[in-house]
Amino acid sequence: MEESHKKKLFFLLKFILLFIIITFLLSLPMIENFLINFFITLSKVFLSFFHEASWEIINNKVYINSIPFIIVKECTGISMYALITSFALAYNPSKKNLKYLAIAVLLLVALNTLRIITLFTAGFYFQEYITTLHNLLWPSTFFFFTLLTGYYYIKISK
Amino acid sequence: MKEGGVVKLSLFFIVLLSLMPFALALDDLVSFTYSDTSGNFNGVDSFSALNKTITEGDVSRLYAPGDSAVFNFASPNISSANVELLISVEDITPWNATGSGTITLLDIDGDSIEANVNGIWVRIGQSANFVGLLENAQLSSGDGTFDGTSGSPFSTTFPHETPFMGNILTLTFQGWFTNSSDNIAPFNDKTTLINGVVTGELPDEEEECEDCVKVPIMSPVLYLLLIASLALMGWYSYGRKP
Repeated sequence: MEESHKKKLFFLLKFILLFIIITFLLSLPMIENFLINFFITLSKVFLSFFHEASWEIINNKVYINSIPFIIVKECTGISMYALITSFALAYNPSKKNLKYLAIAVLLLVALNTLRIITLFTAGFYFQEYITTLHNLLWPSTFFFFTLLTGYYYIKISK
Repeated sequence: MKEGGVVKLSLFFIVLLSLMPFALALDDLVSFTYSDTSGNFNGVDSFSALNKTITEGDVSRLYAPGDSAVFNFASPNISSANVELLISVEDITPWNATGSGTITLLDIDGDSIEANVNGIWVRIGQSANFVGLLENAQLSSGDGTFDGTSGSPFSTTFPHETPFMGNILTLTFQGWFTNSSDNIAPFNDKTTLINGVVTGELPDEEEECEDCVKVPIMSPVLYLLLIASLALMGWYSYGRKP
């Protein structure tokens, strides 16, 4: 096998291994619950701007105009943080690049907050757009944001 | 890290994750304490603990949002509230016995907590103790809240699967079912403390809320595509000179 192929294979194995480890760590109940509670708290802060009669939070369910939203592990973005972190660490874990990784993860959290806020806002005012936002707009935004982050990370690593 | 090491570690974690057992998550839902109830034994095989005027009770919702209903049985507002514990006493020896029965807690306007009780009686010094499990516990709704004579009423609605399960009950009074000659003997009005916790398990998320809008960031297919895209980007650029 060529040397360059060996290196590439090595990168892929590191990527997969780190992805498994980081996903496992982020899925520990302590971290998972912290993230779920974090987004529920953010939701409460945001919803406090609206009239109380139109929303209610019971455990991890948010009712907006009787539409039940449920905040579970998948809503916290754990999978995205794990993916971008494992990619960055496998590709080039230099100190300088790790700063970019931290910024990227923070941007993902901000983007996810914005996503939840827009979904709730749609629950209040634009219920007919919830499906479009939920199934099309936000998934593609996250898809391209993560790809661009990966591309930029490769660029700054050169 | 060497290539061989990476491969071995990958395999280790894959095996580890696949072997992880399913974790059963039980939540504490309601705790209850009734002090100074009246304990009675019929001298054959039946024990009962019932409220009397000096009985005081505290029934607390432990699951969010919390709150605690307090019962003062001397209060004029006590209405229909009561506590009734009926347990059999079988296989009596000077030191232990077995027992099973029912417990019923009623609030002031008809809401109830009912459960079957199964466990063992143990004599420790001069004290009789019952330790057991609550089974088939049910919270039935009258007006939907458990109200005491004071404190704060709490909702009897929980998102957990019913009947509730795996709960502990302790019961203590001075005395035993036998007299000093080790013969089975009745007694009346022994001051008895009742303690218990009702627990429950949340249903699977799929069953819990079929009509909910779940807000995962993207579908598994798109996520796999994203992983593959990142892997390809890394594959083509990794190890290349700038």
